[in-house]
Formats: sequence, structure tokens, C-alpha cells
Amino acid sequence: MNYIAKQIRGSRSFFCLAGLMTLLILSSIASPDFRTLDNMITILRQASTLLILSTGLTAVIITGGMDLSVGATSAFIGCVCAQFLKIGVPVAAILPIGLLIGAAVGALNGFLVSVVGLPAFVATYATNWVVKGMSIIVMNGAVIFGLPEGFTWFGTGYIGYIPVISVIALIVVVIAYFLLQKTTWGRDIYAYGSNAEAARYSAVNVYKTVFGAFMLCSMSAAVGGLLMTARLNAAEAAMGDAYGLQTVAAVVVGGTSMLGGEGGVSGTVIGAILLTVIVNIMNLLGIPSSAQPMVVGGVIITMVLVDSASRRRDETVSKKSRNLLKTPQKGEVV
Amino acid sequence: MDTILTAHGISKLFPGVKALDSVDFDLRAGEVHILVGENGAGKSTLSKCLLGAYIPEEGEIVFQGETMHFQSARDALEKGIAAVYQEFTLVPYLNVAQNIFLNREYKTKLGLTDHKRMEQEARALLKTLNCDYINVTQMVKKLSVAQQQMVEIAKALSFRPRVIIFDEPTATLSEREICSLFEQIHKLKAAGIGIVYVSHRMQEFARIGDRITILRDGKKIATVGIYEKTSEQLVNMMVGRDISQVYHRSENQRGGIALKTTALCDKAGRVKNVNIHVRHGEIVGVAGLVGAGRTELAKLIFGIDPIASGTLEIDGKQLTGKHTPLRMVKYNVGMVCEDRKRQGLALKDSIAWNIMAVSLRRYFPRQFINHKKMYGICGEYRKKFRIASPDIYRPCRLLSGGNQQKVVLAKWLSNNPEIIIFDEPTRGIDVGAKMEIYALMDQLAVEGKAILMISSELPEVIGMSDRIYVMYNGSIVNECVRGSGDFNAEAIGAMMLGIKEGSCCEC
Amino acid sequence: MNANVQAVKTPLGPRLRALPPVVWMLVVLALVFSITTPQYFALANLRNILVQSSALMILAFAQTLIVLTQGTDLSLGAQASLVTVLWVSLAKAGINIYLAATLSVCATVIVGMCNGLLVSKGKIPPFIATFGMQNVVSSIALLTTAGSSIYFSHYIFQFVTETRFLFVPLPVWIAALMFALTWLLLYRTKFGVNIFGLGGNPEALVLAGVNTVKSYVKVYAYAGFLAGICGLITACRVESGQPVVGMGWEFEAVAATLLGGTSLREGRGGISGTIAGVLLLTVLRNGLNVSGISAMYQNAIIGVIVMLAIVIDAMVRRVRGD
Repeated sequence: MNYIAKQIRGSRSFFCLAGLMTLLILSSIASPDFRTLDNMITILRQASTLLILSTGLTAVIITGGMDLSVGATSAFIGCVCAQFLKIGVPVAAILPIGLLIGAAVGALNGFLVSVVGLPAFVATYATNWVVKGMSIIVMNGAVIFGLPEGFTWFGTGYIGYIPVISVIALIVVVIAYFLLQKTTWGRDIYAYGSNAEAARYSAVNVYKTVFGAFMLCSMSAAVGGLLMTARLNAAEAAMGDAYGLQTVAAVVVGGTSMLGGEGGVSGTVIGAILLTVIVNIMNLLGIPSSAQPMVVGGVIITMVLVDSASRRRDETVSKKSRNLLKTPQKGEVV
Repeated sequence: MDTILTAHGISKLFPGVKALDSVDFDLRAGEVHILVGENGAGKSTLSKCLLGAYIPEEGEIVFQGETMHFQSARDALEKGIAAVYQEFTLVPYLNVAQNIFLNREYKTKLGLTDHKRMEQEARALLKTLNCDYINVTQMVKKLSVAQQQMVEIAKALSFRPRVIIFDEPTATLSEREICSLFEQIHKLKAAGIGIVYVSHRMQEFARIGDRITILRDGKKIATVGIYEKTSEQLVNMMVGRDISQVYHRSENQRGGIALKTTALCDKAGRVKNVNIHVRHGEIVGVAGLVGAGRTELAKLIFGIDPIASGTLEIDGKQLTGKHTPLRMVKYNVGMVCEDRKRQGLALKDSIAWNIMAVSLRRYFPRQFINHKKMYGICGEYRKKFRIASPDIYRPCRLLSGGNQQKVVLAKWLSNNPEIIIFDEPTRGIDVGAKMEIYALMDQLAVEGKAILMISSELPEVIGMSDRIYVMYNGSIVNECVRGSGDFNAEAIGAMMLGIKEGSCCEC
Repeated sequence: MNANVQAVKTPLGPRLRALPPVVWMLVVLALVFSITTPQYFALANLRNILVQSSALMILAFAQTLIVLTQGTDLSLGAQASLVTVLWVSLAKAGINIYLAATLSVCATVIVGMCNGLLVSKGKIPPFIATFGMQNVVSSIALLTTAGSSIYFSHYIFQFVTETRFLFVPLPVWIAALMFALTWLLLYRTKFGVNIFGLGGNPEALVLAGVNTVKSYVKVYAYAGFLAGICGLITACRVESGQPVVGMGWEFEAVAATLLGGTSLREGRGGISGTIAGVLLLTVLRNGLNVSGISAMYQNAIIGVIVMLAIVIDAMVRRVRGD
């Protein structure tokens, strides 16, 4: 038990969790509308898309990489699938199609990063550009409305009190958590992220690791894109734009280090919910939408500052503990 | 001669290790004072304390009669203590002149940097070092390592210091460059400059040194005149006991040839036509200077770098097709690499994950990790290798060098390899941990594993190996078998420097 | 190790080969467009390309400096937008137009300093620090104008966009001036030396006694200054203050910088290549427009060509062994 407590305290998401808790309490005090069940479910629903997109991105950022194409990929897949639905492709076939396109985009990113050797930031930015251009072509510059009900249910339906979209988000998170924490491939992602060279020396299959991370990312973007389309009951080329960097923010605020090798999906869940709650409470309090980015930006900077300061404090603590080392304990080889 | 620099009772602590323990040191004007010790004995730490890069926890430094409280290397530099570091302090995409005058740029009347003047002075400085062939307008990135070293020295000299500290300056130089460096050092000596020279190359001591201070485990053992001790006595003082006690090599049966290379070459031309073989149950040493191609050879065998030509045989089977570390691990080859912080460990990750980094795939072939089983295995390895840490969950960066190295060993040995390449296995660790590692290597050989050991520490290579290949400039120049006439430090040391006995240049 | 005394003049062949690949791609692209569209090489069109590229050019110089220190500044586009908004609204409030311009550029310099402090003192990765600032800055711009564009007319706008000096419009001259200034700072001052140091070997700077926090702040502040100038030119072009006009420019600036041969590692590169990078983007966009390709396809085509260019650049450099 003590160990678990220590893990939570020591985990990089601790400050994010503490921040989320504080925010929830403060918001509940500030706005009576906030603490209603309805609003909680709204938050859950709003957070779901962001969460799904950021979950896959977490894997890429743990490798020490970056995927700027998440938003564009999700929009692209949403658009393509909406067109497919329009020409009468059955709803059941849509998910495999979406995942397939996602895997292809991820493979392209993986190729550019691991085979060509481009910095991930640059490669995925280029992909972002291409994919975004392709969605414009697919959409022919227009917006598609009125998708089949069997499809929109995934975005707007409820199971009991719980939105379907949130259930799917949970499934995606659980799958990603399992892959990252319980498989050797997931371990390779961490190993590669904390020290790529050491991973190579330790016989980690670098290509498999990097390709896998990018494909996981783009496939979760596919799921997110489909749900986004289902929720809006419409598809538009620009619908993923806002998510491009917001997802990065959710992951980083959740305690995953941009340097790689640290963090995880659980932190991203907290990060995504935190960002959603902030927007939610600002809307409830009537803060104008033009002022909202400032608050979001401030929160991102603060969270990361606190995180980086706390890590430096940890280092100084270990300096203090040096004094203990003046007299080596018996029987211990120092 | 006057003493210009004195250090009294210097102590310095690092996480997990007391790097210096009340060390006294003094330097006279116009002398070369050599600091020796094994890796991790505290040579570099002491020199860094002297020049302000580290602030010691205890002790005082007196320079030209004044007590100094350096807060940074810059402070010391301004007072007149310069240094040539082991790691380069050059900016790759600035030119030579700009690097020499970093943060001291000359300015024209307009307030812009005066390139002409900086280039002129840089040229003059390099000329005094006999390095006019270095183009001062060339980007440092484009220079060879040896040329960078000379720029580094020129940079130190440009401060017109009273004391210069050289931290293993010859590690990357060829014999010719070493000669011209020593010439410079003699000139500096004659000019009354005090020189601290950190090294562990016995052959160099007599060529330039006046006095030697021997450090061991952060403590000063003795300061002696250069001719007072034989090199054997020095080694004993460095190691702290009779060498035969430190290096124990059991008698054991040799098996068949485990690893064999035929005319192996790499693409960059740093490994040329190498033919070596290692038998099961044998420890084979590769001796050579830094830059002789030893590490490159190891990387080539392990599949890190691509082979340009030549063949590699494992247990008599010639390797064909893709040659990657992944594949080598499948062939039961392991490699404990030279730079454990860069290539050996993921410092942020826990001890457990580092131990499992290679063998995870062996223990969990179906790719699903059973955490309980895994932590159980790691716990066993922690006990077996006596890794000094309360648990296996803390990150590796908090461990001392010796314990980190044990984690690296555990990582490879948990995968149960048949052929193990050790590249500088005891770099930067204390004697206790070293002896454990030597004992382990011996035991592995007894178990019938084939071991290829690369090291720049001659006592270690000679103490542990059954056979030694001497590498010079990318090629194997000699093979010495234990018990034969040339299996000693002097002969092998000379071969490493690429000189035949008696042909050493005048300096 | 042997005497590798370099000849003072390297022959033309190797020097051409040493050019960043983007220059060749630029030439090829220009040739392609001149075949598809006869009026491509008309003086008016060339002038057009230069004018279109001038704002992005200045922003790309700023981004190049940041990339040289191994960072990226995602707030540059937002900073440029902020300047258009501040300048116009201050002028509208009756402040002297030149004073207003100075004040609004000061604002972005302060934003830059904040970026620098967050990166150096706060030890936040530049990507995330400047992303946070991007949000804050664009929010300020939106709040200033209540979300919409504000219009104002003043003869200086027309003066800047329409004056030609030696057949070249003023914005191009301003970009050239900024190039000269940045070049001097980068290659002829301590400021520039420190930029290469921050990217190449920060440890060496510390050992040489350089205050790296100050150096970071200076670089980001200067980037802010350039973003400010870019904003001023933009305001003249659109004759208004537009809070989102610079959205995404920071990424185009990154693309131009990288195409120009500046690397995200080690502090390799410089601002001359960036010019070619920016021209590549502008020539591409202009060429597609002039040859009458539907706007719908342009985005994808530019994306694909940029991706190819980056890949080719990486390949060429690998073959050359840079």
C-alpha cells in the first residue's frame, strides 16, 4: 500500500492530478451549474474525442518523438469515411476502413522518422500538410451533413447515463494502457524513448518500435476522427485543426515528458480531462471565447513549470541524501 | 622552484560515492606533475576541483599565495588556471578562431567582432604549437579529433595561464602529434608554467613528468619523484594490492572457436582487415589506444555498424544476411559497451527495466509481460550481482558508476549469452566493484563462455586475458599469448603506440 | 592529420555541389513553372513573388535563429498577428502612427523575452513553452479587437506597399534590411557566436563564462522583434489589424528554415539557406496560382512537394556525409 502511495506521489502525473482536483473543487464552488450530473456527463463526452486522440499520441511522445498530424489525420479519416457512408458503404465496414487509413498514415510517419531519419517534428508536420490537403480534395471544399443514424449513434448515443463515445474512449485507453505497460513492445517504446542508442545496443527492434508507435497514434486518431464525425453528424476538412496542438498539450500536461521515456496513458487521461474541465468552467462562468486560449496557455505553462521545478527539487533532495553516504552502511557495496 | 598551486584536504561527494577524500596536492612552477590512478580513482575530479569546474565540499586551494574560492571554471581561468578537458569544449559550427576566443571576442570600432584580428592571433597561437596546417577559418566540426585537441590546447594557451591542467590529452592523438604536444609541454615548462598532467599511460611518464601523485579510491596514496619508483611499483600503488590478487584467472578447458572474424573491415576505414578468434572458455583481450579502432571493432562484430567486407563466424557458422544487434542476440552474443551512460543504460528507467532490457523477450516470448514474475527475476539478479540499492524500482541515474555497471552486466547475463564482448568493462568504477567484475569474468570463462575484452587499462588486459591482440591504427599488429616473452606491459604498451622498441622520437 | 592546407579559392564545381539541395529544387521548380506558364518569368510576377515572400521571410529569419539554438518558436505567427492588431488599434486611439508601431514591436519583444525566460530559467521544452505563449498571445490579440478585424486607413500603408525603389517594392527592401541586420548579428557579433554555442555545445559556453539564460532571452527577444517587423509589413498589406492573420506562419517558417539547411541538432545552418527555403514555398504557391490549378488541390500539392523536398534534402545530406 505504502508502495502504491509512493508511486502516486512520485509519478509525474501527480501534479496534474492535484491540479485537476483543485480545479474541480474550485469550479464546484464557483458555479452551481458545474456540479450537476448533467454537466459531469457533458465534460466526459467533451473530453472523449481529445482523450482518444491524445492516447495514441502518448505512445509517440514516449518514444521521444512528436506527431503534429493527429488532428489532420483524424479529420481526413472522418471525411473519407463520411464520403464512404454517403455512397452507401455499411456502417460495420467503416471502422476497418478508418483503421486501415490510419495505419497507412502512421506507417508513412514511421517511415519518414525511422528510415529516412527526419526529426519527428518535421516529418509529421509535412504529413499534416499533405493529409490536410487531401481532406480538402476529398471534401471537394464542401461540408457533408446527415449521416446514417447507425453511425451517429456512436457519437451521440448513450448507454444508460454514459455516452457511447466515452465508453469507446475508455476502451481505447485500456487497449493503449495494456499495450504500453503489459507487452514487450510497450517496454521497447519506453526503452527507446529514454535512450534510443542504448535501446539499439540492447537489441530492441527500432523499426518495429517506432513504426508501431506512429501507427498506434494514427489509428487512435482514426477512431477519434470517426467519432468526431459521428458526434457532429457532419464532416468538414478543417474539423481536426484545433486538435493538432491541443492533443500535445493534453499529453504533456499529463506528465509525459517531451524528452521521451517517461509518462503514460493514465497521465494523459488526467491531462485531457483537465483541459476539458477548464474550457467547460470558463464557458459556464461566461468568459469570452477569445480570452479562453490565454487561460489554457497559462495553465499549460504553469503545469509544465511546476513539473520541471519539482524534478529539479528531486535532484536536490538526492544531493542532500549524499550526506548519508559519508558513512557507507555495513555490508553494502557502494 | 616555487610552489604556485596548493590544495589542502580536498573532499568532493557525488551521488553514491565519495570521489575525493581529503586530498593534498601541490604544484611547482615549471614542473609537470602527473596525476595517476585507475579509472574512477578521482584524477579528473581533483583536476576539476583545481580549476573551479567543481566546488569541493571541503578543503582549500591556494594559488600564488592567495586562497581561492572559485565559483566557476571562468573564475579560475581569469586568475590563470587553464585546462584542456577530456571532453571537448568546442562549438562544432564555429570556426577555429571563434572557438579560441569564445566569449572574449575582439571588437572593431563599430562594435562588431574583429575576425581578422582573431584569426591572426589564432594563427599565431597555432604556429607556436606547430599546427599551422590547421585552417583557422575552418569549422571545428570539419577538423579531425586530433586537430580539435590542438585547438583545445591553443584555446587554453590563449589565456596566458600560469597553470595548465591537461586531462588525458594524448588519448586521441597519434604518436607524431603526441611528440609535438610533448615538445610544447617542455616549452611551457621552460617558461615557468606549472602543468598538471592527468594520465594513466605509464610509457608517457618518464618522457615528460617530474613528479607523480598516485590516487586510489579518492585518496592520495603518495607523491613521488619520477625516477623513484618502477612502473611495477606504481601499478601496485594504483591498484592497491599485488596485481596477482586483483586479477585472478583460473585454469580451465578451452572449447571450440566461438567467434571468428576473417579480414573484417568497416566502411569508415577505422577497422582494417581484422582476423581474430575467441574460443569457448577463453578471455581474449584487445589492447590499443583510444581511436585505434577497438570500440569500432566491437561495434562491427555486434552489428551496430555495417560490415564493409570480411566475414564473421559464430560457432563455425558463417553469418549471412542482415547483421543487426537483434540478430546477434539471437546468436547468443552480448555486448557490455564502452559508454554505459549513453549506450548501456536508460538512466531514467528503473533498475528492473534496465536489467530486463534484453532478456524481456526471452522470458516473455509471447510478448505479454507478467510483472510479478519479472520483478521476481530482477530481484534475484539484484542479489546475485549485489547491486547496492534498497529496491529495484528506482531510476538507474541514482546509482554509483560501479552499480550502474553491474546493472549493465545483469542486463546481458540475464539473457545467458555464450559470447560476450566487454568494452572497457571497468571504466569509472571503484576497485571493489572492479574486483567483483573480474571475478565474474573469470567465472564466466570457467563456465565455457567466450569473452572478448577491450580495454585501455594495460594492467587489466594483462591480468585477465589468456591472449591479447594489440590494435594500432585500425589493424591488429600483434598477438601475444599468456606466458610468452612479450606478454608484459612494456612490450604491449610500445606496440599500442605503434612504435618498435628503441625507435621512440626524441622528446 | 596531414597537411590539408586549403586552397583559398575552391573550384566552382565543388562549391556548386556544396549548395543546399533546396537551391536546386528551387531552380527545377522555376523551370517547370516557366514551361507550364509562359508569363511566369515576367518581371511583374517575379516582383510579386518577392513581395509575397517578404513577410514570411522575416519571420523565417527569426525562426532560423531559434532553430539554431535547438528550439522552435510556435508563438511567432501569433506575435505577428498581435502587432497588426496593436498597431492599428493604437493608431486608431489617436497615438502617433510611428510611436504606435514602436510600441507594438516592443510588445512582441517582451513576449519573446518571456519565451526566453520560460525556456532557459523554467527549463520547459521550447515547443511547449512557445505553444503556451502562442495561446496567450493570440488571446490578447483577439481580446484587443473583440474577435474581429479592425480597419484603419493611413497613407503609410499605401506608402509601404506601393513605393518602389529601384523597381523593387519597399517590403522587399525591408526584408533585405532585416537579412543584413540578422546576418551581421549572427556572424559578426557575440550574440551570434552564442547562438551557435547554445545549439552546438552549451556546456562550452558555460565554461567560457557566458550567461546562457541571458543569451536565450536575447535570441527569443530578437525573434520577437523580427516577428514585430513582419507584423508591421503585414498590417500595411492588409490595411487592418487582424488577430488571426499569422496563424500557422510559424510552421511555414520552420519548414523554410529546415529546407534551407538549418538542422534541429548541433546548431548547424544559417540564414542564407532560409531565403531559398522561403522562396521555394512562395514560388510553389505562386506557380500553382499562375498556372491556374484549382485552389482545392494546391494545399495537397504543396504538402507533397514540401515533404519530398525535406526527404530529398535528408537523403542528399546523408550521401554527402554532412
